[in-house]
Order: sequence, then C-alpha cells, then structure tokens
Amino acid sequence: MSVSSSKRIIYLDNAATTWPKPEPVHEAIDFFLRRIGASPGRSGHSLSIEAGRLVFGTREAVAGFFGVSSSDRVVFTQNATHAINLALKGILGEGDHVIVSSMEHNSMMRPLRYLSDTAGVAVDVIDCSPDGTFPLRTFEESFREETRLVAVLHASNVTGALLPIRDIGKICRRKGALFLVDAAQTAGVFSIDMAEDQIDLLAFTGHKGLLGPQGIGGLCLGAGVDVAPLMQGGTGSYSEHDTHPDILPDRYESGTMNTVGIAGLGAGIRYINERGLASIREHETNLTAQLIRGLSSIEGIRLHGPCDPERQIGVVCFTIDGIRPSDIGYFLDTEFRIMSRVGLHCSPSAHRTMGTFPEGTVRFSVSCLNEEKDVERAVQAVGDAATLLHRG
Amino acid sequence: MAPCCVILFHSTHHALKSEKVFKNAGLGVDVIPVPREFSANCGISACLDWKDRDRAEVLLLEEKIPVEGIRRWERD
Repeated sequence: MSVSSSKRIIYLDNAATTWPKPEPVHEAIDFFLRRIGASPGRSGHSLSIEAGRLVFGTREAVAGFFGVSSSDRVVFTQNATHAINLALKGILGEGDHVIVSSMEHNSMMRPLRYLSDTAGVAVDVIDCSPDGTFPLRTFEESFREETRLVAVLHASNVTGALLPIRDIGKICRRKGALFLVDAAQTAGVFSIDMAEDQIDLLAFTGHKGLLGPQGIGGLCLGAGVDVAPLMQGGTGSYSEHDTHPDILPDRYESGTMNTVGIAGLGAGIRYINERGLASIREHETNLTAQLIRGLSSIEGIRLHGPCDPERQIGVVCFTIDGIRPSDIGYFLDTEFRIMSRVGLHCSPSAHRTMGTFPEGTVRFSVSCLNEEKDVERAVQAVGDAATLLHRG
Repeated sequence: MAPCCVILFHSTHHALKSEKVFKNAGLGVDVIPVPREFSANCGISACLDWKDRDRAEVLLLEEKIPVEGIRRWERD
C-alpha cells in the first residue's frame, strides 16, 4: 500500500524515530536552509556567524536541558551510536574492565565487542530479569580493581523498562568508575541531570524524544572527563597547524557540522521546554497505560516488559501465540496503516533476556504527539490480527 | 574614531559565548572577523568600546571563557 492512501497513518514507531515533528521544527529547518545556509565557524561573513550563533544557541539549550557544567562540553555527533563510540573508544584501553546491562542495544554491544576482540578490554554483562529489572546487588559485586567504566541505557528500547540510573551513578562514584548513560530512549521525556544523576558521559540522539531530525545527536562530557577524539580534521580553528586542536568543543567536531539538524534539534528542545517535560511524560504514561490495558485484553497475546507505565517508557512489546511478529506488523501496515516495528530491534541481548530470541516481538512506541484515538485504533487492529491471522 | 577592544578566541564557540555574556551584561558588542592587524586561532572576534575592557575581562573570567588575547584596535 502506498503512503498516498486515504487512511490516516497511525505512527507507533517512535522509539526508532519520532514522527511527525512539531511545526516549529519544520520552520527552523526551513529557515536555516532558506535564510542562513552557511557553514558555522568557517568564515567571518555574517551568514557564517549567524550559523555559528544557531549552533551555539542549540549547544547552550542542550547544556541547560541536561545540566551540563559548561556548554563547550556538549559535543555534537551524528546520533547516539556515534556518541557511544566516541565515549567507549576515547576512554577504554588495554586491561580496562567495563560493566554493561544485558538490555543494551547493539550501539553499545558491538563497539564493546570490537574493543574486547581488538584492544584487550574486558566486558561484564549484568543479566536483567525477563521484565528488564536491573539487579543492583549483582552489579555492585561485579566491580573489579580495573573497572574503568559502567555503561547502561536509561531505558530499554525493547521492554521499555527504566534502569535505576541514579542508584547506578551513586555506586559508580563510590567505586571510582566513570558512568556512561545512553539516553537514546529517554531524552526529551524524562528529566536527566548530569550532576544530580552523577553521570560522567551522556549520549543522546536528536531524532527521538528530542523531536529533531535524523542525523544529529551528541555526547555531553562531565566536568574533568577526558575523552580522546575519534577523528581529526578541519575545525575552522588553528588552521595554520596540522595538529588537531585540544580546545572544546572543536576537539571532537571535525568537518562541516550538521547545522540543519542542529537547527531542528534546537527547535525540538524549545518545544519540549514550552510544553514541559512533566506534561510530556504524563501524556506518554497515559497512552502507555491505555496500550497495556487494551492489548492485555486480547486473547492469545503476550506482553513483554514491566507492564507498569510508571516503571517504563512509552514502549510496549507483544507477541501473539502462533503468529509471526513480521506477519502482524505487515498486516497492521497494509490493512490499517499502523506503523510498528517487529523483530529484534537491534537488541538481540535484550531479546535473549526476555526469552523472545530469535523470533522477536511486535513493538508499539508512542510519542508526545500521539493521541488516545491512535492507541484505540491500534488495539482494535491487533485484536483483528489475532483473529484473522490465526484463521488464515 | 574611538579605540576598540578586540578579544581574540581559540574557538567560535567561545567568541559567541562572550557575545551572549556581554549582551546580557548590557555591553555593546560586535562579532567581527579578526582585524588584519592581528592573528588568532579562530577567525571571529568580539569588538567592544575600549572603555568597557575591564568590565569585559571580569565577565570573561567569571564565565570561565578562554581567551587568546585582548588587543587595542584603532579602527580606520
């Protein structure tokens, strides 16, 4: 079915990318492309300076949003994966030990596997329970003398389960390890404060809860945290030298930036600040509760994860006995124009933890722009899928 | 023409941070390309009245903005 069909699209794949975006995000991107367009930090003309102001303004907004000690410690990247790679590869070396949870996305697991295979980094994976609960005591007992870093996601993109990052942060501080949080699924919905939560490195992406476009993300560095850069190149500064500058944020931002993405990200953060984080969280919690309630009433369905809107983000995963997740996803799309995500969600370890590997699940994920009627229609459609696909 | 105080930076970020800080403090500031008489690691600089130099220096220190240099500039 083509997207020109008359049925309204119900988009419930917001954990992959939020869509649609608030109108001001479109406007900011359009304004940048039409009215500014130039490279920030590269020239002295007024359009370049204006592009620089836009980047600076978004950097300040990100710093304020996450309680970063200074805005030059906000580094823009392509996405959370890029930010996580920068953090891991810029910190870890031969003999270092890292602790992660079993719920991690491949954006964490794959670079760690690479470092384990090629750089002598030891990795311990803390098994969560099938509903995604993180065992704090087992975690605390897994520290070693050489534990350099603890790296966990704030919430699972599969179960939606929140991890107790504040408790984990306290333990890391006490044990003297650095703490990296992957906030891909929570930034823009949950309050995160690097100082209060004792986070040393915060990786985020702009295209999910922060409501910006794809291709922009960042890594926030705690005060005094030193990370080696992933790349070297042109920064618009120190141009007469062929050595890379150490000054922040230039040290981590080689090559022309994604200024159009930064424009959209800045508008997304302004929208969130105006609407209020607490109000966004409440809206998503209500939709999550409605999803859990509605889906639970369908015969033959199995919900995975905490099934408690207070302990999870707006992500709900399910399977229906006897029907392949991919068949359900295709049916929802072609019959009802409902966009879900099926399979392993780039998180095989999380699915192993839940007992849903290798078939995977169907995932619905909401954003602050979904409405109750979206969830209502999605629940009805899954009910139809359960009946019709069984019969078929 | 009255002399100006040109502040040179290592990074565009810090030049634009200083612009925000000076404006918030009520100082008049122009962000301009580094005048040809000077050289700096970053291509843009902040230009204020020379009489605001001391106040500007205090603000830069308070806000921990790294500076490459401060120059007196007689504008043509």
